[in-house]
Amino acid sequence: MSDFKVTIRSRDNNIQVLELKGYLDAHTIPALEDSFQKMLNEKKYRLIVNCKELSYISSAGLGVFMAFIEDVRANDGDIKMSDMSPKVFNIFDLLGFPMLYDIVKLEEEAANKFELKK
Amino acid sequence: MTHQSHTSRSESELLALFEFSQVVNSSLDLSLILDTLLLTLMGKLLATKAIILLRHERKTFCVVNGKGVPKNFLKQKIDLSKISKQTVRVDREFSEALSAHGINRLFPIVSQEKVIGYFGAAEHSRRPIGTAERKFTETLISIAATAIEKGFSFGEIKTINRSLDEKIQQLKTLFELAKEFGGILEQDKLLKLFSLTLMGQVGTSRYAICLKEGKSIYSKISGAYLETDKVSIFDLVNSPLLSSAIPRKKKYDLLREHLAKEKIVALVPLQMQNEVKGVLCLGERLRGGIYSESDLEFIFSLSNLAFVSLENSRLFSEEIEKKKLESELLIAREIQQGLLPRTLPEINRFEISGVNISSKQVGGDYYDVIPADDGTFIIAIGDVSGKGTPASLLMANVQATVHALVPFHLPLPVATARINDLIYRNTGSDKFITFFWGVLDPGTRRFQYVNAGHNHPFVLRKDGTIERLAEGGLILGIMKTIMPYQEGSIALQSGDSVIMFTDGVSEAMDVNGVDYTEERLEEFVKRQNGKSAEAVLTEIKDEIQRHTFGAPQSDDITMVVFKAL
Repeated sequence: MSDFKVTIRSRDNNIQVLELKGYLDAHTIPALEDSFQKMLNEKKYRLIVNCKELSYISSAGLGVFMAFIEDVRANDGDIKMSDMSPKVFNIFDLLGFPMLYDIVKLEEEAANKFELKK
Repeated sequence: MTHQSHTSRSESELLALFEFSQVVNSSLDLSLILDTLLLTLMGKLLATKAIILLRHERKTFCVVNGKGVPKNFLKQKIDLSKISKQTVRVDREFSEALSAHGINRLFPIVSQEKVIGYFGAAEHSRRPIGTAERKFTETLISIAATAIEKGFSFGEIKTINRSLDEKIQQLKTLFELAKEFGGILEQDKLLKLFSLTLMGQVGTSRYAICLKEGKSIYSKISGAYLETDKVSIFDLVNSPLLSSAIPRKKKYDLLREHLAKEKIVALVPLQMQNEVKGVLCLGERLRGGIYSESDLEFIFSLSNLAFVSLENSRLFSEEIEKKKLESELLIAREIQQGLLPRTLPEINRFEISGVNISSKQVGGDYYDVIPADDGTFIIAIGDVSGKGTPASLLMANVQATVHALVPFHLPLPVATARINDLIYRNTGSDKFITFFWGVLDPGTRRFQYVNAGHNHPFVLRKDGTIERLAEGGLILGIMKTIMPYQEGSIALQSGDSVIMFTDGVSEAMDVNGVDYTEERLEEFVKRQNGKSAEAVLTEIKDEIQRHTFGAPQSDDITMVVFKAL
C-alpha cells in the first residue's frame, strides 16, 4: 500500500487548505475524494491544495480535481493549487491543467487570489 | 575620414561584433537572439523598419520578428520569387508584400550553405547603406546564423521533448491502469478508476459508454437517444472519430443532431477481438481545444484496456453466479434423490418398477411406493412446478405430508383435499403440483386412485387395449378445495399394467424442440403388451432417449410401472 495523506487546515477568509503528502495513485485516490467530498458537505468552497509534499500524482488523481471543480465553482468557490515540485507540476502542465486551474508557487499567493476575488 | 577615426571605428565595430557574438552564442532562446540581431542592426543601419524572415517551406518565408512594422505583418508568410545568397534589393516584382511595408533590402541568413532566412530593412533614400555597413551587417548576420540555427533546433527539440513527455505520461497512465485493472474485479471500482483517469487525462467530465449489449453508462449525458438508436451509432463508429467528421448522410442526421444537443464531440469504439461492442462518447474538454488524432488514439487504447477489464469482470461475476447456481442445483438434486424411494417394497403377485432421471436444472418430480399397515400400498407420482431448490423443497413437503397421512387411512379424496389445502396455505399461488396417487390392494387387486391434474396414467390391459386414469380434480396448491376430489377405481387382472409418468416423458424434446407427445407415447405403450413392468419401463426410457438424441434433457423423467402377475 502506497503512502498518502490529506491534512486539512483552515485559513482566514473561510479558506481551507488541503495538504497532500505522498503518492497519489489508484490506491490512494479515495482519500482525496473523501476530503473533497467532506469540503462540499461542509459547504466549504474556497480550497487551496498545497502540494508541497506530494511526490507523485497519476492521471486518475488529476481526474479527482476534474470531478469536483464544477461543483466547487458552481458555488462561487475555487480549487487553487500551490507549492508543487517541478516533477509534479510537469504532470499537471502536460495535461493542460494550468489552463483550467490557478497553479501558483506559494500558498500565500493562492490565498491572496481568493481575497482579490472578494 | 582621418586615419585615426577610421581605426577607432574599426575597433568599435570589432567590439560590437564581439559583444554581439557573446550574447547570441550564450543563448538558446531564439527570440532573444533575433531581438538582439534586429536591434543591433537597426542601430547600425539607422533603419526605422526591419524584419527577420525564417524559412517556412521551400520558397516561403515567415516574418518571425520585426520592429517598426505593423503587428499584423508579423507571422505572415511571404513567397519570394527567388532565393539568393547575396544581399538583394527588393522591388515590387521581387515581393509585393515586402516592398509594401517599405522593406527594400534583404540580407540572406546563410547557415551551412543554405539560406535559412533573411534580415530585411528599410533603406532610407537619403541615407543609403554603404559598402562598409553592408559588410558589417553581413558579418553580424553570419555570426547570428549559427546561433539562430542552434536556437531553432533547440526550440524544436523543446517541442519534441514536450510531446515525448506527453507520450511518456500517456504510457505511464496506460501501464498503471493495466496493472490496476488487472487486479480489480468489481465493476463499480473499475468504472470509477476509468472515469477518473479519463477526466484527468482527457479533461472532460461528460462521457457515455454505450454498450451494444448490457447496461450502458452515462456521466452527465442523457443517454435517452443513444439507447433508442444504437443501430446508427454502431453502424458508424469503427475507429475513433470527431462528431464533426460524421458523414453528412441522411441516416446519421438524427444522430448528429442528438450528439450536438448533448455536446458529444468525439466517438471512440470499444472493441473485443476486433468486434465493436461499445462506443465511448466524449463531451467537450473543459480546458478547450478539440481532440487531436493522438488524443483519440490514446483514449482508444485506454478505453479498450478498461473495456477488456470490464468484460473480464463481467465474465468473472457470471462465472461466480454459475458456480452458485451449480452448487444450488447440487443441493436440489441431493434433496430430490433423498426423497425418492431407494428400494421398492415387494408386492404379492405384482411387479413394480420406478425410475427418476433428473435433468440438469433439477425439476421437482417425485414418486413413491409406501406400504400401509393394512397390507395395502400407496403408489404416488407428482410433478412440482418450477425447478431447482425451491421445487425440490416443495416436493419434500409433499412427500412428508403423504407419509404423515398414510397411517390415518383417510379416504383418498379427503386426504387429497388435505394435501391441497396445506400446500395452498403454505406456498404462493405460482407454486403448484400435479399429483396422482392410488391405493393398491394386492388381495382384492383393486386400485383406487385420485388424479389431481396429473398426466393420465395408462392402464395397459392384457389384450393390448388402453385405458386412462383421469378421475380426480384440480391441480394441488392453486386454490382451496371447494369441489371435493373424485375417486376412481379399477380392477386389475393378471397381465394388466398401470404406467404412471410425468410430463418429462410426454414432453421430452428432440434437437428441434419438438415434443414427444402423449399420443405417440400411447401408441408406443400399446406395443409393450406382454412385457414385464421392468421391461416396459426400460423400453419407454429407451424410446424417449431415441427421440431426444443430441438434445439436452429439458425436464426430469419419472415413471412408475406396476403389473398384475
